[in-house]
Amino acid sequence: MATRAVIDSTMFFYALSLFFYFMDVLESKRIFNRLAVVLLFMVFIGETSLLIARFIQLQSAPVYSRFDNLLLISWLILVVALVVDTFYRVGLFIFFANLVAFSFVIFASFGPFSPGIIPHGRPDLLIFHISLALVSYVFFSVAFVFSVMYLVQYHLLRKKSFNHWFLRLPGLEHSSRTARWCNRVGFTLLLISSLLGFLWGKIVLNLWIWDSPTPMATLVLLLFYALTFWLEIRRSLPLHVLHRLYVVCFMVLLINFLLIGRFGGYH
Amino acid sequence: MQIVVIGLNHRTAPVSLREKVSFDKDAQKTALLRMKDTRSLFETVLVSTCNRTEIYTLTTSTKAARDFVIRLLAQHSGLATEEIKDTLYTFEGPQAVQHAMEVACGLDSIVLGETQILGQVKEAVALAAEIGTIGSFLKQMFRYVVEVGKRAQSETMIGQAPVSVASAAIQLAEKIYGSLRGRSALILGAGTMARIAAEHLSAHGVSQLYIANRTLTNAEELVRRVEAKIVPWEQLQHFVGRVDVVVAATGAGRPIITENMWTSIRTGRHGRQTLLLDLAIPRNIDSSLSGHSDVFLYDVDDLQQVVDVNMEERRRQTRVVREMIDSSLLEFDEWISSLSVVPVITAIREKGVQIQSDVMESLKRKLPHLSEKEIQILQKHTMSIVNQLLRDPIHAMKDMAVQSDPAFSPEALAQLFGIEFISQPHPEREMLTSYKMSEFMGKWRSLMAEKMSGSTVGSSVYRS
Repeated sequence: MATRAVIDSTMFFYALSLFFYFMDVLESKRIFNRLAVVLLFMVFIGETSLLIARFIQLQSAPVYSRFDNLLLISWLILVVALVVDTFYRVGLFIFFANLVAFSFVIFASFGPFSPGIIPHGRPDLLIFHISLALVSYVFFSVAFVFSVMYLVQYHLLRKKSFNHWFLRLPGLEHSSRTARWCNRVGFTLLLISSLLGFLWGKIVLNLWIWDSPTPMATLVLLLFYALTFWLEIRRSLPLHVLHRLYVVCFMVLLINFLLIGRFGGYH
Repeated sequence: MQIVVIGLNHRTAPVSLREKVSFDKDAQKTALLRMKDTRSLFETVLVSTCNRTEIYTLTTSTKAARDFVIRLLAQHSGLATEEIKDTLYTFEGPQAVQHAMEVACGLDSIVLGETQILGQVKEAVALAAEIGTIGSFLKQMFRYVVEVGKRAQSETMIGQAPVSVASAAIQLAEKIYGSLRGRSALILGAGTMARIAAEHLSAHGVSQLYIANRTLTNAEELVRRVEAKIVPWEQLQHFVGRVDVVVAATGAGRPIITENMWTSIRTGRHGRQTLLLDLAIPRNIDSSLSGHSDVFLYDVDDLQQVVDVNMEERRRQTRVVREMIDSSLLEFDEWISSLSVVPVITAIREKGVQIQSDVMESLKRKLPHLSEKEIQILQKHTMSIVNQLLRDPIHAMKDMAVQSDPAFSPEALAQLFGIEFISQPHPEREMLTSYKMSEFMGKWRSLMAEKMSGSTVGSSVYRS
């Protein structure tokens, strides 16, 4: 009951914060920006307290249920957004990144709040596998945000729509470089995580990767990203097409994580 | 006594008058020395740029200050006093402080949000400090003024959004490539627009700058101004295919970079993005090139559109800057209010030290055998008692000083601590005990008027 109240209020503050950020983009008023920042800080407190409560309850890292995973990803994106906004001031990144983080909280709120079951047998391997996968999702989310910002700015420059968004969004080169770097880091982490996951599946459950849709979908996702990297290295595609492909890859990631993972019995 | 600004600027005076009234550095020094000797001006700062000449002063009489400034400007410029009088504006008290902040933030400049003025204000304050015409009051005021000016520049886009066509071109290049360092550019033409573009690109760190012009002598003249290489006109296509930015500004009257040329170049570029800036009229670049996904083509109308958006953005940012100014004015107001308790705090501290000293004397008399070391320990600990006892009340007093409706007046606080407050106010001290800037200004003015009329004014004394 208490968890429900905290998650509801966090979602409410999150929505309000994003609304004020949006108003700040439209109106450029300090009051909107301040309100958005204060509310975001309240969201940070709400999510942190939920994760700490879950940690105390489990006596282990809260990574064993869908709710905890989504909450942890949202929390990590929020932390990255706050750090980037404080130290690097990348125009509109905080708004777009929190839009993604907010979506994760929304998904989290739909499911059950159960803490999950800590599986027997090599939990150390499993926790490494899940943690690396979650961190890789955060990198892919940040890369997705930069790719979207690239595409919006590219569209504005091509259409000669010189407006407030054009002024606030970062340059194409900056967005492109950051998105590509984050994708590479995310890919490496997910690859390592997958190997650990396959290993855990074989040792503990005596299952091969084709025995469950989850690892198969992850393999497909990795192939998607690998193909895009290959196209990038070959320089056979214009950058805006490449970023569109990265957006598609992130969509595949969401389908894998939110949809296929739900039906998988792997862990 | 109040802060007053008397001056003229681009809104009130034509350039023909402004240029005569403007002070160079030596003339500023002479003028400040003259003002230092004037009895009606207690503190003075002279801000003089091509667009404004303003004198900020702490004075007992606005009228006397204004008359003095008119005479000073007339003598300096050689103009008649009547001619200057009509162009002068005068702001008093909070309006003067607000005006100073608006000037420092660039809200009062011809180009909204321009950044140079902040440096000029800082220089004016430094010069006043060097000559010795600035005191603690204007020093503090300009501290707030410079602070809000810096915040306006760093926290908003008021001074960042470019408002010239050449700067807008650089802005577009940076939106595509990020920094221009390590990039290459080709300029077609060697006229005025080509020169401005070359200077801007060079200033923004373009590593390889090429100039192509049909008349070689004109290109050579341009290369003397900026670091660039001249390339033969015949090799134009080759260099267009190599560089990141092409600026076309020739008087050819027809497209030089055509669809055919681009099609033959394109394959060698491997989809690398190119910025083509057509600053010529009639245009030098075929407009159909904008259809290519790897080409960003902009002409002068597009750049003007960027300038307009930037100007609009600067105007939007003025709202944010005004909010900053309001909050800074409030802080300055609070600073003035906080001054009211300073004498009480000093007196309470003095009383504490006196009590501790009396106690130590008494101890020394009653315990004559105490060693030097023991006396030192007692000294340290008794002082510590006094400090610990006073720390919280003093902290609370400072908090109360910045409240609009404090629970205790300075007199009540003095009474609470048994400090005798003899109400024979010294005018400056009385000024410090008013809670709002407007009250303080009004009070100071009336006191000075009384003083002028010969009434006796003593000094306020806090005695333990």
